[in-house]
Amino acid sequence: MNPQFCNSAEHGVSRRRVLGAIGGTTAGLGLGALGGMVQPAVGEELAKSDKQILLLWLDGGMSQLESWDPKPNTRFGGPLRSISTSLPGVHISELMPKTAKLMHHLATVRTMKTEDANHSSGVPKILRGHPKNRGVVYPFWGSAVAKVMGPTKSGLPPYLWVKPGSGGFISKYAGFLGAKYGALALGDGKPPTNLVRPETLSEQNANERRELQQLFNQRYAARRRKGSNEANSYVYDVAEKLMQNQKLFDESLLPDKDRERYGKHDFGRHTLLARNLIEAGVRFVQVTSYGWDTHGDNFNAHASRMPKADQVYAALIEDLIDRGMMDNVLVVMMAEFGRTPRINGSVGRDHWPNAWSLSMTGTGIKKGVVVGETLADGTDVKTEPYDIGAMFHTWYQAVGIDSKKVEFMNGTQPLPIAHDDMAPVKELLA
Amino acid sequence: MRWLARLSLSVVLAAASEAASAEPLHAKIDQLIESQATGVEIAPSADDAEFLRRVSLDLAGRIPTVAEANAFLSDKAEDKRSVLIEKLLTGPDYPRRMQELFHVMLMERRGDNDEWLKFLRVCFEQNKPWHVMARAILNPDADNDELRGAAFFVTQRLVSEGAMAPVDVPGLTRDVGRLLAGVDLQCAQCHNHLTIPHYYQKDFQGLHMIFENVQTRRDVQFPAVSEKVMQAKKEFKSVFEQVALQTGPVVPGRGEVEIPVFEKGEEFAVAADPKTRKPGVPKFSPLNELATGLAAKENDIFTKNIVNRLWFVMMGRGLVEPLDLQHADNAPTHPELLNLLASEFVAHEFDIRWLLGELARTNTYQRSSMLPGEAEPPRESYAVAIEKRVSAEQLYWSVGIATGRFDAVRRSIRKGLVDAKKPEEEIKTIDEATLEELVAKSDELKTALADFKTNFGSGPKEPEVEFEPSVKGALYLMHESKIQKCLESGSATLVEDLLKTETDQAAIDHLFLRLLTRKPTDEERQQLASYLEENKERRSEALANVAWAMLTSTEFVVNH
Amino acid sequence: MNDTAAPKFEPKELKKIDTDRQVCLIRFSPCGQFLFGGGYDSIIRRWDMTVDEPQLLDPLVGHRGWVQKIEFAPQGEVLYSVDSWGQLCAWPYRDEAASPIWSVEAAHDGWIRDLAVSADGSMLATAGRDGSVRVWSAKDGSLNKELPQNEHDVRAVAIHPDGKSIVYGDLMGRIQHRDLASGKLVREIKFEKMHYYDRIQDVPGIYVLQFDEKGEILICAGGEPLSNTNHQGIPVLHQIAWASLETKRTQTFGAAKDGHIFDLAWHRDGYFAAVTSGNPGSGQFLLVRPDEDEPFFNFTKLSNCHTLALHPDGKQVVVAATNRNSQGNGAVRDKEGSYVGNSSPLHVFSLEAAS
Repeated sequence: MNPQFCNSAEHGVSRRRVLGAIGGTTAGLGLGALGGMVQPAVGEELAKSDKQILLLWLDGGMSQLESWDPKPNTRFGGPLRSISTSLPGVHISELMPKTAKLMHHLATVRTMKTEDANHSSGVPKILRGHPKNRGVVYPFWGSAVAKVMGPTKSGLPPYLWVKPGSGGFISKYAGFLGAKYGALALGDGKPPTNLVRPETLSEQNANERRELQQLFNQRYAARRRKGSNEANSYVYDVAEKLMQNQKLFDESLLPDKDRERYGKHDFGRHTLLARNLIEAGVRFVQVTSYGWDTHGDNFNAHASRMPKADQVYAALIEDLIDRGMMDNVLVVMMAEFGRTPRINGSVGRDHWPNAWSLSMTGTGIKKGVVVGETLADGTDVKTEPYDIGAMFHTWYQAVGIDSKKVEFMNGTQPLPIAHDDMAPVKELLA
Repeated sequence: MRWLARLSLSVVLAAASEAASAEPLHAKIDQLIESQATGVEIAPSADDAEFLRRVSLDLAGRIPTVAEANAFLSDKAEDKRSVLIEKLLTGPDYPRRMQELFHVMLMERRGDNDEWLKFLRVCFEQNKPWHVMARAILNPDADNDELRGAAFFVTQRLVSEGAMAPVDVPGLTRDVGRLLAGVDLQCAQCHNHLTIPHYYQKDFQGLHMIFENVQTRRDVQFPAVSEKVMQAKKEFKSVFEQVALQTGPVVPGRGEVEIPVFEKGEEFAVAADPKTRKPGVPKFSPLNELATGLAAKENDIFTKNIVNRLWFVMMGRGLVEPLDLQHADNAPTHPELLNLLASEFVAHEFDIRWLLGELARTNTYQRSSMLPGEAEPPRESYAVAIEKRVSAEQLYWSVGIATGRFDAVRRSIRKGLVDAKKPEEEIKTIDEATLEELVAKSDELKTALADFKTNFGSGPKEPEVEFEPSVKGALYLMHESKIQKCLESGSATLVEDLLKTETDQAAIDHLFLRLLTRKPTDEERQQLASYLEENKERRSEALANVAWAMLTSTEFVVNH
Repeated sequence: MNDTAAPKFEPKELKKIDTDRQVCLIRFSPCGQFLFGGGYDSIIRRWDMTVDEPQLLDPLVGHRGWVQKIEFAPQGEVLYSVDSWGQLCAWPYRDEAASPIWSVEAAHDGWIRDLAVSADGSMLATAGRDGSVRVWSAKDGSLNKELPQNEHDVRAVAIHPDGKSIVYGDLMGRIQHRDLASGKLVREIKFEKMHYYDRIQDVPGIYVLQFDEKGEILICAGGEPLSNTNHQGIPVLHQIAWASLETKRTQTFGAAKDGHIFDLAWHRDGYFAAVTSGNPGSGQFLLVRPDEDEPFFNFTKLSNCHTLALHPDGKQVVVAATNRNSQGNGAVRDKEGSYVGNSSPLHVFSLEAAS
């Protein structure tokens, strides 16, 4: 990738090391989350919190005009109709009939206005909440939450990422927080390789091995710096936790009814898995659906994709309601930007950070609101624009984190967890 | 203002050390380190076992064998550490270890290439001076069979990664700065660096234009590059000011090079050959300017980059950290020491083997990694040896040696030859095969090596600096069948040898020496004895369990 | 097929008509006087083409979504049109202030993909994204027949000249032949490559279904899609023998960047005129004989050609392309600061060999 902009690591690392926060002995490698909090008391409180976050990420940039903010029968409105919703006077695209019935449970923002029209820099900017440049690489949202809140009492790794394609541990998402706050990616929803204990290794032997290992590790660590052994023990603890939860990854155990409701396509399967991961107690789960970058044939693309996203989102919301999880789970569905009003020669829409939409619900969020309005032809915001930083404040507040007070600690350098010039959007908060 | 204070201190020290200039470098290093480590408790020297393990991993890329451990631990000679260091530096493992180390350092797991690996191997076998290696990398000579593979550093970075990721010339530019000059100019691509006043956009653009002028050769199978004729300066703009600026080629640390003007038709020293598609050689070679200008005695950043990196390899921390951010505002922790290392390295003709030897001889290197007290002294005090990442390759060789998996494979290949009534000569080649040769003969060992790189190496383009264990690595050691095999008698010799021991105590002693290069503590001896006693009905399983726990323990997977 | 070899020639661009909007489809009226263009803005534009500078007349207004298909009655001056909101209309196309003769507001639930008129002019067939195929009385717009519901988006429909069979092709590349009277499935074929699935998205390949005049050949044209985001694909044209339903010949035009055949017309001199649109600005206007692999004319200087209209006299063709630089991220604004949209310039070509 061509490094076009200084969004990247490099300003950062220099500062990090200059300021003397050293990675190799990073404190707090255990399951606790207190390592870098400014106020340990707050950290402890948050670690006990049962709030969780589920992010549905439509990579490439879903069209706001074919979803949350349709402009039917206008110059740039495209061929599709809008439909009424359970919120009087609010219309969304005809491609989302199931979600339309649940609009009174959701909060929608129609005036997102962000900076970057490139994927390579736009995706990380949005997923980092686009904070001010402090000369450090900020963590992605999931890593930030993993750091600030830590795992829930389930002990499961705090940041799981369900995605098509390959899996693995994505340490770079953690930015300056250090590798271990990265995402554990479940490629195609599958568990990590080697998760299953082979038949040739009995449970008894496996247990004895781990006990003996701990014996050696304790002796070793007793007279050494903390970092290495904590890190090495941590990965075995996580591995073991994942093994204990193997069933989470077994699609065959899922009820057919659920699989029908979420859809048997990747996005449906992966979101259903995410629901289970959330239920099992993972702090932050991101589901990514790729391919939303509809530069060509935008309308057929959305006509094919959007109903699947509709199905997934509606099934998830219904489940959260049915299972009483709306009180502790924050759900956000978004992308790195929307799509241009003007329709290009390939009948597509291009990248559009200027006036796009996103949706949220769950804990701390006011239900049944639509915030912001765009111009009649969709070519700009009409009311107050919101940057992603304002959303980060809102979402942190929603899960009980005072984003104006809680800070990361980068060595001796305190860093705000969300853009310090921005504030939560009150209309979105319950 | 701490660094100012430090500066005045080091001036004093400089005067002192001049008086004692007859002293070997390692002694001067210790003086400089210890004089700055005030107010912290300094750990005692590592015992022979800890030292042996550490220096074997560092200079041979593997843990010592039982025989090597026994020989060293029972050796009563005063100078045995120094002798061992010399033996390792001139031993058969050293070129392989250095090849692995520099491959990962310079290519950052972007892929392998036989010609490139051969270049590295030859250089370390012949102990080629570092500036010769660096020049071979920056201006590869396709006519030099031994060194031509050095071009892979450039060609592999000029491979297109598909339509969405075109050839990354800025990335190559950045890596040349990072890895060969210790300066990361990335942010200076579009503007003068925001937080580093000495990184200028011109530096980036001037280096970048040298590589924009480079092409990967298609007329040969091995990695090779050619250059186009460079005639004009490059125009660029700062994203902030939008003022048009221009530069000629810039050599990091040296400045801009004038572009000579040739008559039209006179630009080439060797004309292109359309028949063989061999590209022409221009009279003016910016790569040559770069190679001779960057990799030169006079170029401070070039020398400091490599001594800082070698210091990091041995000591676990750079004098400048991050390793690629040398600049005035990111002062080294020990400026005097860095200067000393640089000047001595130049005085010794960029001799890597010599410098590694001197570093290994320091008390600083030979300190124990065990904390002398409750407090964790700052890493930059070097009061306690810093634990280092064990690379995927080091781990691979160590696991194979410790478990006797290599021995068992050798045995089975040998048996195959004997059964097939092959001549003595051929059987002898197996007996004498190095571990590398053995791996080349076994698909399973080859696959396992690839597995280790996947599970214990960092991803492509990510520098391997700190110990970063991963869940996938843990699961690999827990469940992968190739690892299980290492603990089964028949396919590895460890448990076989343990079952042959007559007492549990003997088995325990053997396990500790073979896997952890030390004797057990009394407590460990007791705990394990009772575990083995309780499980004597299933002794081989119990022994395998102990062995696994040792192999995966922090003590094994970290170089301490 | 026409046995006499068609003349090979270079069409000449005669003029360019600028538009201020984008069109989905253009067609000449059977009388040759008018050019109609169904727009992205629900309006059917109307140009008088008999004058030197084609003159924009009052449009046909009444649709709401995109007007993606226009057809004409074989006799009488009636234009049928469908839109993406599900409406089907019949218009007296010569009337200055035309209002529909009849209109079916919800002929389909949403996007009507295609419209076909039977050879005798009595029937209209429509196919939609709702998976339904319907047959209407051309006279008053009453529903004659509802064909069995399909699982997928039906993208193209054609009525056999004998008036007894209907064919339609769907998102998955499947073409069904059904008996018009009974609705029963008679035969089917599937072009697997005219469908592509990637990252939860079905990408269609069928754009055009057309019979030749005698009903001996069925043309299925479009593309073999290769990407879900960039309109990449290989433009393809299948000639299917109606008697056997065997593919007699498959012609492809270009590489992955060329995308799909968007529109096609059969010239009476025995060749096809077709337009393609691909990624990102690729466009071809090509003329090809059915029995040859290579087009004898391939004009690639236009961007993203979406539709073409063949004049009834066979001497002219109008190609609707797209303005240059129609792609671009973020807000593109003109000097006055207004947001810039795209348009479909109309290029008029002469189909006569230069004498």
